[in-house]
Amino acid sequence: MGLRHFIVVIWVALLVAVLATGCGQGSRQEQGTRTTEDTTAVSESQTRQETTSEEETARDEVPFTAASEMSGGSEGAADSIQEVTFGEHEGYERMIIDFGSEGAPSSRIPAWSLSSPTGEGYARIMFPGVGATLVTGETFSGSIMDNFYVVRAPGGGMFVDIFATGAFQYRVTELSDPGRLVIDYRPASVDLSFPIPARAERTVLFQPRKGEAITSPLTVSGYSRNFEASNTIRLVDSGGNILAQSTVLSNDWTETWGYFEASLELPAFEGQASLRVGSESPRDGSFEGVEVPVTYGGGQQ
Amino acid sequence: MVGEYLGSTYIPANSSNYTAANRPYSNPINKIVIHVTQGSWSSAINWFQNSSAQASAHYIVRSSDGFIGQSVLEKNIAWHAGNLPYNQTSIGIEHEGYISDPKWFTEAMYHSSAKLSAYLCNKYGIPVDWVHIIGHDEVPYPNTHTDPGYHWNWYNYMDYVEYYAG
Repeated sequence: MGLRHFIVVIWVALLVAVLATGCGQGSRQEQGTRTTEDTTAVSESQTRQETTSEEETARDEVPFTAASEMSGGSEGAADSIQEVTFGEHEGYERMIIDFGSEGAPSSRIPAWSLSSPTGEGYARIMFPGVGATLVTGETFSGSIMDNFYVVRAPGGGMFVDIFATGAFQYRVTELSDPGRLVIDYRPASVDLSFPIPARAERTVLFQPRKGEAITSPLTVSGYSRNFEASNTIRLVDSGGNILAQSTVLSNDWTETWGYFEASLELPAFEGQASLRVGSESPRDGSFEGVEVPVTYGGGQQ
Repeated sequence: MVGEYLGSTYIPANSSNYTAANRPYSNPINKIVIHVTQGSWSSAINWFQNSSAQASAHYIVRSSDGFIGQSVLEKNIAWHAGNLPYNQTSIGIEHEGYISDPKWFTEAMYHSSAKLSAYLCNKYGIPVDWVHIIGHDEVPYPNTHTDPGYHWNWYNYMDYVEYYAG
């Protein structure tokens, strides 16, 4: 290739890049979104650490909320979660979810519905049309966004739980080309009404919570990545005696977190007991999971 | 990569998911433990390659055609039984499927797995009986797993193992 030919090629490439950048910004502005999409991103396996400039941060205008429910997206627009990006900004922290369709990046966002129960330290985003994920969870390095889990939902689809370190407000922004859902958290100056669900390396327990007065029958629910999807539930008294025990299978463990739910018949007991939910280590049989203190709150005998 | 068992493919588990050993010299191999994955063949193989799994099996048999993948070399101690002495002295064979759904337990899978068990029995002198070829659910406390479950046809399987063991 001659020098003149090389220079022409460089100019054409620069022109295409400038046009592409302009088109991208136009499509985002048509949606009225203000994002940090153009910021520099550094890939770290499936989860990127996002960085941004002060100027781009200042453009955010979508108001924060404590609403318990929100929804959006388009049915059939995507079938997978491809990537999750985390970023720290002045006053808030951001998580961006990228989607895919038939193995390629999706230009649109699949149907989603968010629930953020009042006084609890998490938000759950349900994606009924998403059946696969390249990302299963990650601990963030932020101060209000703690970590997230991608879970196979019991009724089909997947949900993403985004845990906070305390009370928070949030906002959600939709982007297209590529389809991205942007979730921002900022701290709220109130106390949580309930303890945050107990979490261990391969088990997350949603019900019951730490210190809860439990009744019979007890619903135990959560999600896990335990070997062969097997979860052991044991209620143990202060003397180490097993009061009740059950085993339940979750609906996944190899591809992502699998949801489980079980009903446990309890005997009456006095004082404090411990509910242990997890699994025996396939290596040596030692217990791996969460343990929450509970008291007896009565029930059908 | 070729596995130790003829026709199998070796897709190594992450070295964080098993204990390196030199069996049968370091520990005797005198049992075979039958498992069901509660997931797909490929997803199990893939997960065993992830250091977060903290679990593994020596072999995984595919439902549709009986194809066998090997995740852990037989000399090493796979983490599958949930009981240390059983892990140290056994070979773990996973079978693609779900314990509640018998359609995963195909004849192709039974025959392929039985040939593998017969090979292991002959290689390590494991008796072909119900004491030395056991289900994961038969591994004693603290194990609480229930696989391979009641849809697994033990009678046919053991007949096949006996046949192929010669």
